[in-house]
Amino acid sequence: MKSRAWFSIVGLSVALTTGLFAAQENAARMTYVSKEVRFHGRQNVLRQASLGDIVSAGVAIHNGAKARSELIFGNRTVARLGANTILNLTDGSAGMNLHEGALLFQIPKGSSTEITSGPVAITSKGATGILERYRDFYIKVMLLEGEVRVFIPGQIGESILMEPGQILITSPKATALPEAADFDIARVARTCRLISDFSPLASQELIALEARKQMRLTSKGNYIPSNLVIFGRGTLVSLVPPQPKETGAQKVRSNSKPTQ
Amino acid sequence: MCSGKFNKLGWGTICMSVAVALAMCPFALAQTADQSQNRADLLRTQANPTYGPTPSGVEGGYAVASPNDKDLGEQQILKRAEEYQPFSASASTPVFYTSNVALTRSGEEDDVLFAPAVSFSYQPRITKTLYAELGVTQQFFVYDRFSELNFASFDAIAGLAYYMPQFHNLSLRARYDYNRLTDTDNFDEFFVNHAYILSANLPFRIGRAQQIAVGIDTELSFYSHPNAPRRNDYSFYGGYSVNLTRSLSLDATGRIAVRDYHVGDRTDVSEILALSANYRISEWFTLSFLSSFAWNQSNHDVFDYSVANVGGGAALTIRF
Repeated sequence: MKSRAWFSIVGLSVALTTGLFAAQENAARMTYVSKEVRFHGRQNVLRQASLGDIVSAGVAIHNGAKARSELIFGNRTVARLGANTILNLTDGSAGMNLHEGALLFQIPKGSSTEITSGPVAITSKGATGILERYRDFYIKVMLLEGEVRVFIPGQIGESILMEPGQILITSPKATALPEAADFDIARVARTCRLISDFSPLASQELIALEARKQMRLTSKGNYIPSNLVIFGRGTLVSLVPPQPKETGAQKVRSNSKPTQ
Repeated sequence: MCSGKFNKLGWGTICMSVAVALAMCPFALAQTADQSQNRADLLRTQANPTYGPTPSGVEGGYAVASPNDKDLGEQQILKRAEEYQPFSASASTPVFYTSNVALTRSGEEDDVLFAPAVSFSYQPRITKTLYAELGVTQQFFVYDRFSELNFASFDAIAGLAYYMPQFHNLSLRARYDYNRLTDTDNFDEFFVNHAYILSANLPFRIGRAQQIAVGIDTELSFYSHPNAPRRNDYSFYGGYSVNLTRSLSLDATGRIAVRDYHVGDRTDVSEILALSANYRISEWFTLSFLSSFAWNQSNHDVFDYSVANVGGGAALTIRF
């Protein structure tokens, strides 16, 4: 009798928690917290984030220096936040607004997510990419797999459909979007700590597939590797000596950690 | 990059206007050719390849220091090899309602016409900004009620196009144009014209989606048979285009054209307005709504006319 009562309580709790989580589509659960990660709520109250916390629209997540965090939305969209990052959860399905810092997003196929940063909005129904903003200096979007639409709401025609391997850098005060350039998917996947410091993404194989595809196109001459590299955040382009060739798939796989 | 790209100024934007006076016996044959020439011009597709620079997404040299660089990884920039496709082939099937089938001043008759066209062009790149242009177009004009007006138009062009990216992408063209008009039954020729065409187009891009363009076209005929419809055309135009979505674009073009005839003292001035909406279903398939309105004034009143053409069509274009 006693055990039945316990089962009922536990069952009710699970049902309430999952039901609440499912009902609030714009809510997310913290699945990884490292170093100083804090919530900034509607009432201007700061509190330390911890694993399993549910975050809903209107709450901002602040990652301190050296901090990392990951949250998963109701529609299974994954958001990984780098150091010195401020991300707001907004209304709508897995809605996010990046005020500052670096965000890796993984939107499962069939899910719908809108991410904004300054004047730029990104929508997708299946993609993995990285969004970075640094104050009023720049916004950077990189796509590893899938497809995203990058646009400036209210500006007629300012819309770009980005493909895997494209990078777009614009100003947070932009009223028009520039053309996207291309980057080496495998090298980013190998060196990005928002990938390597976490458990493998569900889209890891899709990223490897795109890297292999890009490698094939490179060997056919459709892409020409340049000696221009942006090392991490920012827009500083460095000139580097040419590197020996390595297949994209090898690069991605060698970097993947086993599933935890 | 997009040398073969046709700008979508719309069907009939190069409307040229001359009226026909059947009562003037000495010019009867010439007028028939002239009418057909005008109708062909009013309804023909205008093919204007446009080229534009592709600004880089990377702000070269602009550096902003920021912490925690390793988060994003190393972004090695790849250069996309430019794939230039010099050949293009297209087929279109426009259908129009026209308010003035014979381009007459009075006694106007309306009709519906079907104007299918096929074209093939080759635009080899000579230097980064200089291209050769070779092309042929065959178009048929088939009327519903006035089948006696049916005719076909064949054009062959050869020329050069020069682009000046440093000056708003100004494009300059010099072409030779051979035009032959025939009937549609036996393809018997009733008019042939040889002309030089010189043109300049200056686009002003407004953001990603909008563009204003101004330009001039000069067509200098150096031989025609019969000689009476032979003329030189001088026109100035201004156009506006907007991409409302990735697939839907709207275009409006206004043009003023002066036509100076070699025989007699006839000079015409035409005002033409062309409006079109294009919906691109795929890279190679486009549906269009097309319209053009023209008003012609001549120093011989008998050649005055006005006409409206409204219609739509589908176009297939492949590049290779």
